[in-house]
Amino acid sequence: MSKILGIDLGTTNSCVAVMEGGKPKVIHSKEGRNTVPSVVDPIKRVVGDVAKRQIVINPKNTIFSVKRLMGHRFTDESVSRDIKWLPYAIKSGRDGMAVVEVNGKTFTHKKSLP
Amino acid sequence: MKTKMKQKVEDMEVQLDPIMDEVEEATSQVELERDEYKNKLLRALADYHNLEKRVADERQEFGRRAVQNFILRILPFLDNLEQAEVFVKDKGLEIVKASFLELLEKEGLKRIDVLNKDYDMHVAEAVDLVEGEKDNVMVEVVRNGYEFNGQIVRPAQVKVSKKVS
Repeated sequence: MSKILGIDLGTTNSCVAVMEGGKPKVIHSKEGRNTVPSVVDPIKRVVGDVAKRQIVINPKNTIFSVKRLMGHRFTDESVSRDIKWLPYAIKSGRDGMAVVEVNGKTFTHKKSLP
Repeated sequence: MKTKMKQKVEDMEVQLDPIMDEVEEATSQVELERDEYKNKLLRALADYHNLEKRVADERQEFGRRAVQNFILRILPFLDNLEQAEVFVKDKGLEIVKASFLELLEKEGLKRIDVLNKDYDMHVAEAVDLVEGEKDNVMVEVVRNGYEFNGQIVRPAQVKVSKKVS
């Protein structure tokens, strides 16, 4: 039986809920939290709290605050501002959209979000 | 007589056709509604079975989490005792800390041993990067991490080494 999932995708934290008996029920993280940090390491394939813990030693491979780039072109003023402080590489992708580059691979926001 | 009868049957068939079409349409509509209700019932049953399982799991989880939350709240007190031990060399303090730790360990708490091991993001949070002889080793523990009945309740905070050539 297929399930209906809803995702509230936040810049800092995200929340996932499943429809049960016509009502949404929030899925807790392994740590028991209702929300998980919107952080992902696409190389090690870890997300949330675990990915966030290694951000200090692995800043170039840990993607966070990626919602800021969603729907923006690489040449947009907001992207130019974000490039200055975000530690991971941001490049121009298909149709000039801003994409994230980690270890030589480019990730669109859809692919990189946890 | 035979021809008349045949004509009558044909007339009746013509009259019956739209009625048959209506019946067919109504049947397919009813079948659609039946399938929809059947799907809803199956979904409701699956939801119920999932809920039953989840309620049982949650009941167990609530008890475990209640103890875990309490332990999480008293861990800073243990941290303070350990910090105090660094500056105050007192036998009494040592005994208090040891007995407190023993009590927590009996409840299922276990300190995560991370010092001089390769960095593991599942058990420790890196708070700083420092020069070292090897790469990616947890060389200093800033705050101890603990697991409770096999689950991480608080990851350790560590400084991780980076080899500078």
